[in-house]
Amino acid sequence: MEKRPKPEACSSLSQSKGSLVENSDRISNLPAHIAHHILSFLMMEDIVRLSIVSKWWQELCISIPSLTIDSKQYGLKDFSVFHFQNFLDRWMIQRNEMKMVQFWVRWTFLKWHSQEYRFLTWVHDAVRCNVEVLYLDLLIVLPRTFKMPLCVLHCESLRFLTMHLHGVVLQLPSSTRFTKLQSLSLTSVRVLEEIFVEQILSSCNSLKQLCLDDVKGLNNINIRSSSQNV
Amino acid sequence: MSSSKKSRIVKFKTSDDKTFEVEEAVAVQFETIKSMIDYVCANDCTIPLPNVNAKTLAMVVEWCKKHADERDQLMEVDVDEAPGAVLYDLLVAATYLRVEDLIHRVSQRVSKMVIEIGKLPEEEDVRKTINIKSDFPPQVEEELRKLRRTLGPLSDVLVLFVSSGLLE
Repeated sequence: MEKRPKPEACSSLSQSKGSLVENSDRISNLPAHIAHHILSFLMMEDIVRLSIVSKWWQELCISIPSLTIDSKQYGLKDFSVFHFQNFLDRWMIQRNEMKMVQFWVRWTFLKWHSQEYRFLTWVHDAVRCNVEVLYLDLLIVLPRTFKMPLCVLHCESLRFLTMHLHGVVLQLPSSTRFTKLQSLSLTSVRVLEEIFVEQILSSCNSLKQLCLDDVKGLNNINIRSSSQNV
Repeated sequence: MSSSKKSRIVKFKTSDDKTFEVEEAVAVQFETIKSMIDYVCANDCTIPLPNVNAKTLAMVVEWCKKHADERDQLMEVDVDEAPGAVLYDLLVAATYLRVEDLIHRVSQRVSKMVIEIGKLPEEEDVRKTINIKSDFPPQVEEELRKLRRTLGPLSDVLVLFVSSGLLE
């Protein structure tokens, strides 16, 4: 039989309403992977706000393995977006090649022609950090075409890729090869090639899951794959 | 927990020197303990938990006894209402025992508090709340304060650049 928790132990919970860290910086005492897990629920902006309190926090924030950026946080004002982008570039430089497990990008690009390189730089940095889960929710105003970055296609570490393109045409380079990709999810995407799905399937050797939702431009889907688990 | 097999008991000694008896069905959820249960039960050992007190262990055990769907209700009552210090103890315990679901749930809760703390208008308030002192050079500190005064809320992002040494 288990010992029942003592009643006074339960009531003392509600008595001692205190701050998160009563007399010491208890978060700083947590193992880094737990502190990182806590931070993984935070938006980039919140994380950055915390990174200014001390060097320890700064190091913790910079080494965070899960990064979420969302342009809605900054409105569409050129000023703040521009500065945020600059900031993120520097952040990535500081991270160097520290492991990045997840990278979530939810971004609106009003001027894709001048912003594409920014995006490519972030993705490239994520790939360099051996990203495993990549989530791209991109609203590209003009042009209505998105070329899959080559570095994503050749990323050795990438296992989960989710793309939400808001109706934009997705173009794959001719030499598509996802090495370790296990799950690919495409939402609100337009494709031009009839053989798009075949192209994907033949290039993903490890694919276990393919989700297509609101994919326009496909009349017939011909599923033939070398991988058994699809 | 009405299995026909006789349930074994795993004994723990908490940091406040209390002996705690836990059913095997619960103890197997402690990843750290899992592999040693057979040995511990056969030899009637008591597992010391130097950084988990009885009160916290009781919470962890209660959480592990619930089915997944009831856990959230339990968390609503016990954890969402719990003060930070209790959450911290729970997090340390869950980490030490490696109860992944609990780590996740408590971390999520703590993250909400951390966001709140981070939103305090002055970084000095943030430091006070988590009881740390700034270890940035004074000139960086000064620059921070100036920027905050002159630029207002929009400066938030900028401030970060300067303070994190990411902006010349």
